[in-house]
Amino acid sequence: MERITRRRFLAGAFSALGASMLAACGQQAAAPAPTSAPAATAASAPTSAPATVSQTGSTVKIEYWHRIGGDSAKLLETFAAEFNEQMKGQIEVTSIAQGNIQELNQKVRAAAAGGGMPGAVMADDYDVTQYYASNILVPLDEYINSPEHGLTQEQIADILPNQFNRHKLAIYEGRTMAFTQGFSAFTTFWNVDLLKKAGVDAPPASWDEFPDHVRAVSKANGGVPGWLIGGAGDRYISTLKTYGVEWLKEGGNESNFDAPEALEIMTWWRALSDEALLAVPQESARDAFIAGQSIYFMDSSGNTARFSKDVKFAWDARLPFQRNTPKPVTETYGPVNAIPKTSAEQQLAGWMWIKWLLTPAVHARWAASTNYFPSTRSALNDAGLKAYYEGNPTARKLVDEVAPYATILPPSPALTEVRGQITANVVNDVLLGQLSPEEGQKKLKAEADAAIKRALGGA
Amino acid sequence: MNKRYLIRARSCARVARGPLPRALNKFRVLHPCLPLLLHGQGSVHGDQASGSQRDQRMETTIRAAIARSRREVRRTSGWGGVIYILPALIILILFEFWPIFFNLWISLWRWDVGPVAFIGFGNYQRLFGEGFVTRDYADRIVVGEVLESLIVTVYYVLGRVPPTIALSFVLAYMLFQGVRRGRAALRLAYFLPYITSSIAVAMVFTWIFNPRIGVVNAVLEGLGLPPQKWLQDPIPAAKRVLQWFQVGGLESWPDIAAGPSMALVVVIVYSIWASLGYSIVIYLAGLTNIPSDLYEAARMDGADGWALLRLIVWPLLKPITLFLVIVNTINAFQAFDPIFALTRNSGMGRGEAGGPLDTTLTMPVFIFRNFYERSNSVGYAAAVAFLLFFILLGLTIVQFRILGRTSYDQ
Amino acid sequence: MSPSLAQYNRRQFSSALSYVLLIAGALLVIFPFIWMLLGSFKNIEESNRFPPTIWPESWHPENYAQAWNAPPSTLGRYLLNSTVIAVTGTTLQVLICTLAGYAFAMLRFRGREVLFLLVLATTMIPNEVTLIPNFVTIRRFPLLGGNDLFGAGGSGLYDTYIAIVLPGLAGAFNVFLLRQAFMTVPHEYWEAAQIDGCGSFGYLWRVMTPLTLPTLLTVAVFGFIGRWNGLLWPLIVTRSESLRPVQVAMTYYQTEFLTDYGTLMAASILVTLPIIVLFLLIQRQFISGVVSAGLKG
Repeated sequence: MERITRRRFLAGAFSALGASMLAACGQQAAAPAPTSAPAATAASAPTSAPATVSQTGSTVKIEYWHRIGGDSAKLLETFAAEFNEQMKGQIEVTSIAQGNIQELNQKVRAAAAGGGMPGAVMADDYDVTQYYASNILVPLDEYINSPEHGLTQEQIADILPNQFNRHKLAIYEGRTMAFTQGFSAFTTFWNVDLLKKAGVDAPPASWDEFPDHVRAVSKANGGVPGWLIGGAGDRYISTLKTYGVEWLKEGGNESNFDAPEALEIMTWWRALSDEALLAVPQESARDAFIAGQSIYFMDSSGNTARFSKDVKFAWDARLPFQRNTPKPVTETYGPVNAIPKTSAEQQLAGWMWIKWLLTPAVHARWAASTNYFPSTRSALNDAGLKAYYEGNPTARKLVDEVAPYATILPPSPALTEVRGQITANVVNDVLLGQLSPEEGQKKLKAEADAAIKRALGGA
Repeated sequence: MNKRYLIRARSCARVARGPLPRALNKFRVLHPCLPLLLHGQGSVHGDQASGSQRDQRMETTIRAAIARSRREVRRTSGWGGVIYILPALIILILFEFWPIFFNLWISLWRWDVGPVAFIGFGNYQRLFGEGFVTRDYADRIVVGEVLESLIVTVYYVLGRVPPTIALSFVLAYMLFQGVRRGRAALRLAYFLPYITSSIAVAMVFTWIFNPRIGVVNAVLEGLGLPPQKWLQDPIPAAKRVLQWFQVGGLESWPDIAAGPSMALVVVIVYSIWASLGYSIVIYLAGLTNIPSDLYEAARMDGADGWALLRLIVWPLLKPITLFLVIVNTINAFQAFDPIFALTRNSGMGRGEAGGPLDTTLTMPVFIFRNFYERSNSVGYAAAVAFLLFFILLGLTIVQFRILGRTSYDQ
Repeated sequence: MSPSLAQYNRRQFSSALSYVLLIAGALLVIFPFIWMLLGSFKNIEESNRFPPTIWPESWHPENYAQAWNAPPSTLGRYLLNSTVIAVTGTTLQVLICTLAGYAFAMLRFRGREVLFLLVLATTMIPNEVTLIPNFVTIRRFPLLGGNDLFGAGGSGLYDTYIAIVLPGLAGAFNVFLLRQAFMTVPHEYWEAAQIDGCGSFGYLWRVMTPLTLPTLLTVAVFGFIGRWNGLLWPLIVTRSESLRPVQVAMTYYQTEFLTDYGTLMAASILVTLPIIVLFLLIQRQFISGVVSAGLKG
């Protein structure tokens, strides 16, 4: 008797295990492959927006996931409360901090597998591309163009074109996959005092003169390093962009690291590195600049907030050096908002929320709190933002001199890996003398191309 | 109530066993880990020290008694077994076994945020192919990324486990033998790192080892030594040290073959620091449970500290040592938190853990990177996870074999 | 009987040497904590200075207020959440593992050895890969959180304390430790208990658990620490700040106070202190439970 029951128990346990496994298989099989995604996505988005947000008449509750910390996270909660008040009976948004970039990304991946996607989600550029490839986002064009819930021509004209079109890309078949909420840009900061000591009034006009300029200034200042780099992969690709060369070739199947500019940059970086004028101290590059231990610092424009508080010497900021660019270029940083596939109601509620975040008064408060550049021109007329820029005049200057030229890197699902791992490692190898610039270029090209191929589903 | 049973049970046991030294019995009863090494065979470790005929005879008696009573228990238990295990079993099935099957399934796919294409054993082919040996940009044959990560893991494990064992044994012995007053305070001090949060403590470590403002470099400077880049230095520590003393010898070695990088050494130091307390406490428990009769007897025979250590303490603690070796090895192979917390900012760019130059990219971090930070690589990550699983399984079986042999041979 | 003078001297000397080495080692080991404490009172300028100051030049206790108020909810809320998670999780874990360990040690049923090996094998699964399958399980948990029998429709156990606690409740390693501890109890005790009409559960409850208290306590302490320090899993399975543990709050500091080491250290102290206090309170029972019981008695 007993034995049979025991055996029966074990058999039961294993069959349960088998059943759950089968259930999972079914679940996977049911999920459409992302390659066939675009058509399906377009169909699932509401072709004509419903008159009210809720189809059943009850309040639509959605979540908004972000990766912002501190006071700006609290501001988002305040925004949600204000929005909910305005949309009472229709939409209720809960703003949820989901840790940093990585943790937010993990959260989204988990939700993609297990359900529970938010109505709107903050994402970084490369994440948008990955999410798109995995078919978990809704294109926004239907919402933007909706006569009832969309944007007016006036509103569209108010948004900076580079930001409005930031995720309206050929790889998305021309559709818009994410919406702007402020941005920052690759910016050059320098220590004015150190330049003055060398008798130099201003930074050089182009990258070509930069190495000699740095040598001279450093010499006059007891050998202080010229440029400490915060992230080798990021800065190398940003610099390449200001040489007029994007990291990815047209079509998105191959990297551009075989361009002569790629070698040129690596060569002078290596030369300056050998002279101890350029190095990659990683997270402490910013601190080194603040401590007066680096002539230049090139990073996000968002740093003006910190520098205007903490930097004790005279400093200034400008558009990054250029070379051979017909029109100035720089790189856009900062997150955007996207709408995951959920239900028609929730998606619409998500759109209403991210659209509301861009209304002038709200967006101006956001820009003042985060020091992101406002994505709309009208926000600059806001009294609060004006007051903020009085306390941080450099930021206001950059709004005119840098912000208009900022565009994103050509997105690719491989960008995270190419930038953060492959490029970072190769550049460090070259700077440390493990590879010659020529070898570095070849290695970078080969490994980046392999990563792109893998990300696109080949190999 | 409990006491009543205990007293009854004890008197009963005493009758059954005859005049077994009580301390020996206690040693067995109260020792949390000892039996684990014996694999439940119930051998009495006092034997190793005394080796007397009497004790052996006694042990035979005990074994017989145990066997008898165990049969008794088994007969009366029946159903019970399954019911007792059921809660644990359900949780394990849901949250441990099920993910294994799920991952087995994932590992057969090219998988991004969701499934992309079924590729059978493609991920395994890639893992054992280019993952181990591949050709670089110049068509030279080089170490693949999985093998590289495996080597880093082995450096990490070898750098962490033996020093942890040696240090914790020495410290525990000193705490036990050499110290009366203040023992509790000292014990707490050594245990403190183990109980404190990894994120909080990792933050203070990155500050202490900060190349620009860290106190460690201030100390080096004070001693006239060159400051180091610590967690940001991908050069093998051995090469760095040789550079200090301006001795040659390793320059021609490829970095991956020349031992752990400076960054990995800092991670190892942190890991030893953080896990030392656990091993010390386990050793202390073992030391205290060694019957004091044995010490007294040995002392009366004129054994001094060193002889005590060599003849009594070390052999008696051998099972515990082996236990700690196994536990620490498994923990080290699976270590993720310390590496993640210390290196996520030196990965550059987005802050991927495992840098600089992937020299702290142990297998768990490698799996994590493929799972979350590369596109189309979740299936590959799942395959690598299986490799790690089987490595650990194999290693543990080997350790158990060695372990079992050691305790029976004596 | 008493040791000779030479022996006595030698013991005195080795004792003194032990003290010197142990105290030096202890200072080295707790140095990061001292640095953390001193650093928590420094302002951003002083904490970024080189060479660093040891004693703060000016004291900034306001770092603590800033650390307390910086995350989305105040730090107190997260500390409370961590306490709830750690206490309930640990209690349930000890209970479940005790039962399983007891069965594996004492009771006989078919497939026991195989089952035990399977349980042990779970300690070798890399945690990184169980995250997503387990999230799916939590979301699709049948009949709870609005889910139907097949786990569809609602959110299952998502965003509950149960979700945070559940997957770790059956720690295989703890089952293993407890099984081994139970096996050391001489079986004559069982006979004695039986004479008094004790069933197998009564025996576990009245004889086994008191005898293996040190191991139970060890399991509990390690379980508590593990839960207190858990980050990724709680973050993944919750959405409400009112449920999230203190380590999640720590991630907010890292992005917000990059190099403001004073505030970072103040936060670290606030997060670390409760567990140190707890350990101070129970360390007598914990270690002396393991240690002294074998000497006296």
